[in-house]
Amino acid sequence: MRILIAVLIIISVGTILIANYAFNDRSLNSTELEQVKTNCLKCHRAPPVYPHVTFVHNKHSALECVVCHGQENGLETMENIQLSLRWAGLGVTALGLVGILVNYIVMKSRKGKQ
Amino acid sequence: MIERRTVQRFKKQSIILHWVHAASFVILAITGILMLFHLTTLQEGYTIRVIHLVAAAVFAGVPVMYCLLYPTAVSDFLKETFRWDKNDLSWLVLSPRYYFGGRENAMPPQNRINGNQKLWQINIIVSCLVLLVSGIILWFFRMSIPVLTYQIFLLAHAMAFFLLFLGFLLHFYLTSFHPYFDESLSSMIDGKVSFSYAQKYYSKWYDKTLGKKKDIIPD
Repeated sequence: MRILIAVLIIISVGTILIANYAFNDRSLNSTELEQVKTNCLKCHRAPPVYPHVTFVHNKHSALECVVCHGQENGLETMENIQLSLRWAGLGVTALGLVGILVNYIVMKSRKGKQ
Repeated sequence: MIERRTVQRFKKQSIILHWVHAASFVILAITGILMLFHLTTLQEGYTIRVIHLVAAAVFAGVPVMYCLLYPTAVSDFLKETFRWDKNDLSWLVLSPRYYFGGRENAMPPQNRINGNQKLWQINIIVSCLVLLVSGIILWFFRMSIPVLTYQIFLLAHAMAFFLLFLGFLLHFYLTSFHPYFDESLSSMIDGKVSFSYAQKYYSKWYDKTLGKKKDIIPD
């Protein structure tokens, strides 16, 4: 019985998530379209012909937000903080890996001596 | 001589939860790192994002399911995680020296999980909560919030990930490679540890379990 309830919950939630992802798109309104036209023309020769918000964001998911939303206050600062976090994360991870390696070598050598 | 007398340390359902959660975390980590460091082309980024979302649904959904199906086990887990005594704190302080080959008899007696494992569990709970809340905002509400707010939640998401990832690296190493904890990985496969392992590392739990003579598999 519990398994059946679990399966029903999974199917319901899965359906909601897929429906949300599939139908969560909306067209840009005329004000937004005017705003984005300038940004789009930085890289594209013509404004978007399929100006759906989710589509636009998904197609540009690998770009930094400032490329299209550069006029937003504080956005560049946030992106600099994110860049610092990436490097800090890499540094701390590297330190952690070095520590693990040192521990492994020390323990192996102690085992060898025993 | 291989010791055959064992005691059940983990139940089957928690073993399944552990491995499903671990597998989804690895997929999330790989796809998340690719997105965080912009290591994909535009089209690949879209596919990577879809994989990340599917893994996120499993990562968040399976523990929620577990809470609904096994509320007693979850309650016991939370009590075990957040109930600390001076032995747990001593273990935390003494463990770095111990992990570098320190004396075993210098370590205080522990319950079913030691102080470091409790800290790891707290890390998981806190980081996963932050990842869940920020992830929901980033997934379902990203079109409804200002770009700056989106970026703040993205930052929180990334910070929680790094905290969890560092703990994961240490957890992976200690359970899979450290010579002191040689039964750790196998105990997360069949749920059992030998008597001597339980007595050495979890003596308080061992005494309680043997006292009730529960879950003991004889020769």
